[in-house]
Amino acid sequence: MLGVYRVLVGKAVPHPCGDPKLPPEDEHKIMRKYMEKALEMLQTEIVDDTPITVILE
Amino acid sequence: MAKRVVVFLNQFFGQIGGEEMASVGFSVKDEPIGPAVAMKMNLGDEFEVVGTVIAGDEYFAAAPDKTAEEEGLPLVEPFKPDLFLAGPAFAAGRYTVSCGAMCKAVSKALGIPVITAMDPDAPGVDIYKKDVYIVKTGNNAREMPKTVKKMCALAKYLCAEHTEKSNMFSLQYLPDPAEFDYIKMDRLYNIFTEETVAKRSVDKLLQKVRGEKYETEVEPDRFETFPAPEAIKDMSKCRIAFASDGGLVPKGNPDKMLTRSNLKWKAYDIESLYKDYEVAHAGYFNDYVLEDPNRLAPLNILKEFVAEGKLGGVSDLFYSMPACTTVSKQGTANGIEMAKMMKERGDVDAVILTST
Amino acid sequence: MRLEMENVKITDIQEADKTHVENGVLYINKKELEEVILEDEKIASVEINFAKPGQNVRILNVQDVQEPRCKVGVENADYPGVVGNFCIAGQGKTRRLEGAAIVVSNPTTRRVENGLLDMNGESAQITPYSKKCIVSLTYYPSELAEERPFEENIKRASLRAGVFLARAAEGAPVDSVDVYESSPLDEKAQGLPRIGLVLQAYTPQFDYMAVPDKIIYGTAISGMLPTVLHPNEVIDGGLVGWNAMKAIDTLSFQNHAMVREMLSRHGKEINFVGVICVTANTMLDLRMRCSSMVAGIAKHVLCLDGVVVEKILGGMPHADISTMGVALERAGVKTATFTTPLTSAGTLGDTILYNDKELDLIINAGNPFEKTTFKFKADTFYGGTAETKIYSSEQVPQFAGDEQIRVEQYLIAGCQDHCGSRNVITKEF
Repeated sequence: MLGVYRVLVGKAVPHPCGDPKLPPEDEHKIMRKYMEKALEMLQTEIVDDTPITVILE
Repeated sequence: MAKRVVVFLNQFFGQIGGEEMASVGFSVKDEPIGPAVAMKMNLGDEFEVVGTVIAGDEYFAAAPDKTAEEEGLPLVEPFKPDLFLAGPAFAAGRYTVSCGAMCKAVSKALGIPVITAMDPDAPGVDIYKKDVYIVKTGNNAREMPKTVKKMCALAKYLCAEHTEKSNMFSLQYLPDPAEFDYIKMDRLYNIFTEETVAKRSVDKLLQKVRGEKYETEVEPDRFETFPAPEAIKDMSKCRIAFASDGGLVPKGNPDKMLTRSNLKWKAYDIESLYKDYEVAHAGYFNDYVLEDPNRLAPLNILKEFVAEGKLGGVSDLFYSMPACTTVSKQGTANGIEMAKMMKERGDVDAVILTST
Repeated sequence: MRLEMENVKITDIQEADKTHVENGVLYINKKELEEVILEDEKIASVEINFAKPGQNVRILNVQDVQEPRCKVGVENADYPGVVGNFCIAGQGKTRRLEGAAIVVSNPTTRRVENGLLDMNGESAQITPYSKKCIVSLTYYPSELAEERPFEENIKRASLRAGVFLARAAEGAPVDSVDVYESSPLDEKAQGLPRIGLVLQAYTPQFDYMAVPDKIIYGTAISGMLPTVLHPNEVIDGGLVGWNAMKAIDTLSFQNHAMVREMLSRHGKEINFVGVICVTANTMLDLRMRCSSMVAGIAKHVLCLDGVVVEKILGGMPHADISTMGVALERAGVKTATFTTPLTSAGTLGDTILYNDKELDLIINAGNPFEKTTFKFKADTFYGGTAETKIYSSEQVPQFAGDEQIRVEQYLIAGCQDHCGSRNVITKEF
């Protein structure tokens, strides 16, 4: 990993934080999920200088 | 008609004096002085060294580029040179910088070949290597004769009218760094090879499979590490800024960010940006983000979090660097500048950086 | 599986009453050719022009370049799944019009990054396509046509045109025959290193209007699992190019340099076992699935000692190259992985987009995005006009009629080839 300790894997290259295939309400829900996870990771301490990579289910 | 050459030297090689004369200002001679005499001999009849411009190392030290552009350049221009040489400066701290500065100023203004010579560890190298041909030297002035020879060989190549077939896809004539022993200038160009990519691949794979020695065609830089930033303790007080390489820029792309190989970044007012924007990025299908930039950076969500008390605040600036197939070193440099700006403004505790 | 490629060399191209080949000249009855093409009602009309090396011709809006070929002695077997019925490509006999090429132009396209080909001038010096005898086909859609499917229509029509031309060469003497015959069980190949090709054949990141191009046997491979093919299938119409120039086109697949290089060494230095076709992926889970499977297939099914991992155009595909490469190396399959530097500023070490220690043999396949200024004043334009916009990533307005244009090399048809046919490397200056 280059230069970053907290990596959240995005939805897809052309829309990392959204999903155009979903109806707007559902897309809004997954956008919230991504940002909630991001906030959670920002509050997580890094151990042994090992980067953390998270894939949202 | 012989090509006209001007040479720049410091006070010592210009035969004015030693360190005690380092603060001397510019002077001009209508003939070759010191190393310029050897340059004249090595260049031969097709060149004429018409002038030597001399200035002291200390005179330059405070503001090398300014001094070069405002004082040095006007002294060089009247000679109408076709070629400009400076130094050699070997490992000298101030002299390598003044040589680089003079060369860069002349090159920018006159568009003629410029050559100097330095030790690869000298300060002038990192600053000027992208703009100026710097022949490699050691740190010893005893190398003067062979260095002058190399500078002149390179000069002849750069000044020649090339009629041979170019080995570059761009049909240019660039000298080979190994052949002319100059410091590479961070330029990458496709060249024609003896063998096809296919043949080279199979040859080398076979060497590797057979346990023979093999040579990779690219050696990646190994990245330096740094300690991990501490976690945020209280998110309700935390202020987050968005940064992104996805190419979101104001409508009209006022800063002319490139859709590929872009090197610039800018911090844009986030409210106006999300109202009136476009995408400058040729590496992915842009329509989804154009429909809704929150898909790239969910400003809508962070605002909700702030309203819910979960998050302290969102920065009013969006830090944007369209980064389709660009130089990772530039990314690092820009990231450092962005962080600097955030720290100076003192309004950001954490960053969410999104990438396409 | 045995494929005999009959090469008929074409050195000139002329209009005539009867379409045939004689003494290396491809004679074409334009009306006959037009009829073959207009069988597709989505095509309203087609302009047929010939272009020869040295002419001051600029061909625009290029979406594909194809070599005219046909299967010999069997019906309906050309480009299975695309033109002909489904069957395996790569067997029997194929006739190939060597030195000829069909250039497919789509002037009503709304794509912005469009290919071009000059038959003279500076850019002609750096692509082998400018040395070929060109049949330029410029297509116009009927009202029935929709933008994206129309691109498929014209690709297929052009392939049919190529079949028609190659068939018309029947009876002309064959200049040479290449025999492609290989099996992992060949006696002569036993005991030699088992080698394969991992052919990254697609990436969905550029999908125009969010629709993928159809690459293998007439189907898209986005989101699909790795597929194993016999080498002959790649070079006999099993793979066709995209609907845009991507440093790869139908002609480069038809002549796939890496496949043919490996075939030439089969039984002599290597046992060329097979080709694993795979797509790059924009989503991590798909990328990891493909990478694991490629490694599994290479190690446990094909039992390979080593592979070359070839790359498709783009930055993101490097991610798939590196995850595949690492998975392969960890499985015990040695790799030579491609990189294509994508910028002209920096060092090679700067530009490479992966950094795994396991990937210690990296092939520098050239920078397809190198921007170059080319001088050329064309007096004839096919596939467009002097006012046709030429794409500039620097967003500088430029037009086909300009004396000088600045373009990325991959847009010059044939200039760069990710199948490995070019004599190219990116060098540090």
